[in-house]
Amino acid sequence: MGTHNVTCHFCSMQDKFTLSFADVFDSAHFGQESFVKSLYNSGERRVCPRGNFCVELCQHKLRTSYARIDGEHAITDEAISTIASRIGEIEPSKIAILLSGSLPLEDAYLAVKLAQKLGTDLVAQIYSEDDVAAKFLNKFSFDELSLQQTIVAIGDVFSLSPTIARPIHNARFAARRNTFAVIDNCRTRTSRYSWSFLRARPGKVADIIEALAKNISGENVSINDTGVDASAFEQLASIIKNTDKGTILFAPGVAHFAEPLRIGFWAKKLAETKQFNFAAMGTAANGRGISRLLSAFGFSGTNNVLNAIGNGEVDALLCLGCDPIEAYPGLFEHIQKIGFIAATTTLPTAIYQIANVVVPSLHLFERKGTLLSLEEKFVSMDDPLPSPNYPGESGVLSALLNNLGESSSVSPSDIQQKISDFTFLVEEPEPHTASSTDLCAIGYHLPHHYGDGSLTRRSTWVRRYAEKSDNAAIISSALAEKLNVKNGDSVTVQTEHGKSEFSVSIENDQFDDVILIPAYMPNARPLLGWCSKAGFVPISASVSKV
Amino acid sequence: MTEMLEEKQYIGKRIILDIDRCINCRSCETACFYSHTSQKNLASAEAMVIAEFPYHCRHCEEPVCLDACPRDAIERREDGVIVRHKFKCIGCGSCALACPFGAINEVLVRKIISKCDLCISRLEEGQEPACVATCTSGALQFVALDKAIDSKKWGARIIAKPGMHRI
Repeated sequence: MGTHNVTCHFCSMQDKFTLSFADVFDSAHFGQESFVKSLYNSGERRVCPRGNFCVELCQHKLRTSYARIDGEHAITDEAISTIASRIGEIEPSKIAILLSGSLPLEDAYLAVKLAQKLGTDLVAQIYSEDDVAAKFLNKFSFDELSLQQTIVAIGDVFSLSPTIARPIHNARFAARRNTFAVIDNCRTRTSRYSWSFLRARPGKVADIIEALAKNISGENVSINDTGVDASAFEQLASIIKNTDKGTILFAPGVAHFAEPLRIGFWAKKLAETKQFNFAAMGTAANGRGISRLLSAFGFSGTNNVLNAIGNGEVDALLCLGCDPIEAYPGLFEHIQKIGFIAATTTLPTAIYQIANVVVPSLHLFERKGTLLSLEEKFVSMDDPLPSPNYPGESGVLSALLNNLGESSSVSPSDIQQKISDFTFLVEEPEPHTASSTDLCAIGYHLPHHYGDGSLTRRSTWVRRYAEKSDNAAIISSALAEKLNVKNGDSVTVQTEHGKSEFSVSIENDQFDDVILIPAYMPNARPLLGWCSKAGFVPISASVSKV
Repeated sequence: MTEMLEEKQYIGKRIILDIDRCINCRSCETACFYSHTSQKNLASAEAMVIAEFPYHCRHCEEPVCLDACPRDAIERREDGVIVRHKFKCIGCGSCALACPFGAINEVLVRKIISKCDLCISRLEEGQEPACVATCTSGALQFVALDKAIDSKKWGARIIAKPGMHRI
């Protein structure tokens, strides 16, 4: 019984909401009644669909509640000692650790200690897009957002973090001349609310933001090959020049931009020139914090770990709260060949099926610990929802460290000090020459899905009301006419990495040279392009009617 | 927690939608689902294939759904809230057909029809309806009907525009 002010498991907004226990036995209920209820938020930030799923996630009927060894139920201690003994038999440099971005910094620190003790360099957090967002120091304030004269969004911020919509709308409607501008390569949920929309061709978004930053500084740069209308560009440049209080929000997304690092670099430059606020928004609640912590300790990032897995250089994989099979379905065959896999999970996702050892885990709203916020503050989670007595990642890591004779004590001040050593991106990344294509496949997100969708796709609401429409490829009406398809028809999208079937969703205002595929679906992710520095990127594609 | 309403302060209040703010994130749908024993009482509507938005029961002064129900499963409470009694409902769909706004879901869940009850149990506890309390964009508001009409934001006026239909 009682109420708890918890932190949402999903997205970098780290929204707080109150969960309360309701005693179901006191009322006459039929059917599936939640015994945990959400009392929602006060103030500007409320609860998005994923936040509402938290009510179900903590009492999900498929929740992992027993440890397993080779597919059989086991005692948790036995499972942990099996992990300890099996990784002890493996060459340290061939052990890889993948972390969820929804872990507190303390758990990531324990993973670092374990990796150092074992002697492996292969430690990373799961989402490469958070490595991108981590490279920029935010200067951002939630309280100031609704007071801005101009807000510029780069990418689909509303789908990534829907709860940011309220302060943005408040700013839009606060005064007649306030502007909400969007810069993107396709129409998105966010762009439809913009009063100024700069649409660059895929692969040219970084160029247009560079041109905008230079224009504000008084330098003239040609925008001829970006596909942006010159008068719209001049208009936005003029608005930015005449704005005193502004904010630039950058949502890298999954396979949404070809050069997210360069976009972030020039967006940050633009913000600094005008003394605007700036926020690079990651996917996971603490992805930026964990990425910085690992980088500060010298670990080389997600791409290196994934490369090692792909090259068969990993003999043992420890997945802490994440699922690399659902996040990178293209690696499934390589992951399957790994000799020993241990996973901590909350739901029976793909990794649960093939892991040698499974240990039940906790959601973020059931944990205590520290997160790095979008405002660059260290936020402490003090009032978690009482959870079943599962060890979670901290329990597993502490036991493994103790087994190796290492202390599992964590000092928050050490962590904060270490994160402050992180080196931000200071030099412009090398521009990437995008080859022009007739049709470009771009990843998109929906507000009710998070990351690779491994958790959200298993919520009852999604399974009942959204499953059918979620596997949709979004195309323009002109392209639909050319293909002779209507809403709901099946099409095959093919890229150099493979092909997959999607149902068609036609958007009248979508652009003809793009096809948007769902980045949260395991059949779409293997089709996307890959860049060693930025993770998933858009890719040239073809589409045909089934 | 959301703003607490004083006792019976909800009487005469209705849910309105500011379509300029709605980003169709569907958090209202999920909140409705999880606060009504896994049953979605909200309908959805589509405006000229551009936008989708939630579609609430108006809790009419003279509810035709009540008249259409053959089993007296729909009742107009003293406070004006139209509620559907689960155990009396046989899922015949008459109310859904009768509703002039198309605000009652025709889809049956466990052989009963679903209908917005303004989260009456939350109202009685002094809280806003779940969909309003969760709304990420500020599009859904729970306001006095006369005030809503004055500000020209009443949902019915929006719905009455041509080119909008229920999905």
